[in-house]
Amino acid sequence: MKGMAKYILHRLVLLIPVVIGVSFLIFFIVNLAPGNPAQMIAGAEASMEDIQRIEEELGLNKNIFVRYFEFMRDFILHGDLGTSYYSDKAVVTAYFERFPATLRLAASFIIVAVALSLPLGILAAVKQYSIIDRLSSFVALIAVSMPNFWLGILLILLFSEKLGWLPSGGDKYWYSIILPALTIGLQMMALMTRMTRSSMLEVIRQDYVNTARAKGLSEKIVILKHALRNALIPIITSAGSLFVDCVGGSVVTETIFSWPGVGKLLVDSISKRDLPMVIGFVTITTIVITICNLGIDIIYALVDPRIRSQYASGK
Amino acid sequence: MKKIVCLLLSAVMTLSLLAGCGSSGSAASSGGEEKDTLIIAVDEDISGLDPFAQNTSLQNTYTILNYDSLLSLDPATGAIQPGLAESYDIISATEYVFHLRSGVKFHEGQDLKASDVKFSLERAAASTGMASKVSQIDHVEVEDDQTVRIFLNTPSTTILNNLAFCGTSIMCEEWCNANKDSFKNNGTGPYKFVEWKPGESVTYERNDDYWGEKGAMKYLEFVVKTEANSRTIALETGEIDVNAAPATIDFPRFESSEDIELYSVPSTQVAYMSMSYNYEPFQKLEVRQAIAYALNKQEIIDGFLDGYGVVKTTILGSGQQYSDDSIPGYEQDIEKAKQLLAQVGYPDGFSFDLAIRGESRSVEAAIIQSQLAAIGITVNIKKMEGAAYTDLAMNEQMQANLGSWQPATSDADNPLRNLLYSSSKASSNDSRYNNADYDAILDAAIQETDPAKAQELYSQAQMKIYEDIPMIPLFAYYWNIAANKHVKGVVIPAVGDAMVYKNMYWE
Repeated sequence: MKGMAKYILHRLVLLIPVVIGVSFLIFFIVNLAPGNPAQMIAGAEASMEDIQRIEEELGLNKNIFVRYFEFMRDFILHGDLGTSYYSDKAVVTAYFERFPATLRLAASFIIVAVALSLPLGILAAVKQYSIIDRLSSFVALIAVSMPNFWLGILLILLFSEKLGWLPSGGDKYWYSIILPALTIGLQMMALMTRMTRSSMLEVIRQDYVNTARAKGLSEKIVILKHALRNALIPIITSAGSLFVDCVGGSVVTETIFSWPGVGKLLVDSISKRDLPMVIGFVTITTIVITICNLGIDIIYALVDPRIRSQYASGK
Repeated sequence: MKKIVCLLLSAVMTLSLLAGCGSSGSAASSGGEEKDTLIIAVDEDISGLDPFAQNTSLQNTYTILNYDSLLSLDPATGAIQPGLAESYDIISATEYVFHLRSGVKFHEGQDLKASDVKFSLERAAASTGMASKVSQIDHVEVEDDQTVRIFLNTPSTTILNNLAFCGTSIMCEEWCNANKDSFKNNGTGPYKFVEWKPGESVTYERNDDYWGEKGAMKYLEFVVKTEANSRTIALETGEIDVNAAPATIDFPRFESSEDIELYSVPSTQVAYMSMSYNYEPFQKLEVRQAIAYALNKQEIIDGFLDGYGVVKTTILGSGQQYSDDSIPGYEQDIEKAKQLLAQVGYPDGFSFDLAIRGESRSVEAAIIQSQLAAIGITVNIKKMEGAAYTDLAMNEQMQANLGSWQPATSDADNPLRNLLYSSSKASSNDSRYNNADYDAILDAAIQETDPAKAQELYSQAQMKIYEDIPMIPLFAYYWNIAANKHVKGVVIPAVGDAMVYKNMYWE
């Protein structure tokens, strides 16, 4: 496993230039965008003097390169991404207060998607062109064509209003996550069912599957143990990339269900020009996404010995 | 294969069973137990805890639960009443003495002293959100623990309105200094702050040692529900008790529902269309008059607000001090409008950009666009993001825009000065109206202590707006609250932007 450890270290080291590059870009984009943060904070009744005073307090009147230097210095030396202009909270604190909710949400999407798409995809592949195959394609098409906010509201109307089974939003009870999970999970399921089906179809055609059958193994073992294992790589890829998409925050879902995640907070910070929050969140998200991608690559290695040896040998 | 399908089906069944076990979480359905928490859905979250950091209506709504100011406002009438100060004396136009109530305690146990008043007003002056509310104060002197003397740098009657506003809430000096790095709430108000779950909820508990009329419910929980539909549904299922921001499109549902009561009163938030003096065609009074004659305000209200609005001819809401609803308006007269345009060299009309902030006014803008097309004017609607919209105003690039003003305080000066005084250039004087006579009227009015004379002056100012047309007041929004029929004590305040929850209870 020494080769693996080296591989992981190598990937983590590569993280550094990525984070520096992203934070540089976002810092300058956000600072050069129209809108005056001091004016946004001060509000409509402020005088020019009030606005200038706030600009000074926040350090906005300093040269932009000086500010970037100070930002990077605080970040690299102290891990300090600054303080929100509005709440006096450290950006890092504000982020990790809301991040678990986003993480749980993203995980729940994938769990719903995989739990539904795996059996459906396998069935569709094994019984190609049967009723099950056509039905699953049809359902997938509908799920993927629906706008997610529309699906979300329909689910609320059904399960919250008509049936009264589930709450319409918030994160108060353990079952509050069910409707948001279904909203995006069903759409992910649609995408992943197709992926699973085509990946399985490719594998089933292989010679070694026929060999396994010829050896007298039960169909169940042939499909679930031998075929599925080899079909997993593309499935993990699509599940992984869908997960990574959501780990930065799913704004629409968070808005509809008032889910206290980081996506909504980021969008609100952008509207208010809460610069440290925007820059800090994007920087942290970059790190989180990179680590998640690394995690997915490690899962590949666990699943497929060929990939494991590839990493270990330094490819 | 069958096994997999069976497993899947049983999993789905189990899940729905479990979901069914937990009710929709409505506290209302618990029979027998007395309900001690009123759940209110709001459409956004606060950005921080400090009441002075930002002047927003949501923050102010929470602040009046938690804190008191020297004076207070009667919600039903908007009249200024005693608050933490039992009485005050006007020594001169620039000197006021306030006598504090004795025996008032902060929630954390400290006694209220005059030095806390001095501290709080100075803190407001140094804050990001409330500095403009105390800008008239030159300095504050503490005479003894119950007496505060306030000196103004300019004679002003609106200092009383500002001191009745929650932006001058009294905080505990000792506590604030001990919690400098991370603000913690500690007020004298009818409710104590319990906790803030960012993005989710804010909870308050009744202060049973309150010096004044105690709050009705034991707990108030404000939950954030940003999506209008989910607020509507949550109110119908009983998940929440009050919907603080119902959408007009849902009003027919509320009105026909047996379980929901809709409260709707004209507010002091007035919408207007402003035309900039920086844009050439608008430099001619006749062009402004033509546009005023082309508009049909009732049509705008019907199309944009489903009828839930009141036509306005003045920028002051009806409940606002010194508002004058007798100011004439410009009745729609297309022929006259066309004539006026032709008179000043625009027989075929002209075009201009109408800036709006975000999505909320787009229907209104479209209605105005079609009304002005009738006199040959082409309106280009420019939907802009909030900060970019404000920038446009600050960089003198606005041509025309749709704005609105919700005065936080009850005085007439607030809207008239912020929107049209010549030096209010920062962001609110969209039109860049610069008229020395108008300025002089406001400056005289703010010092006038005789209410009858003050009314005369403020009516003059409102007439001037009618004559010069720097902006066209369009309509006053309705302030709407939808609540469960069991919720009593709902009073929508006549002035200000802070909703009053302390008197609401469940029966």
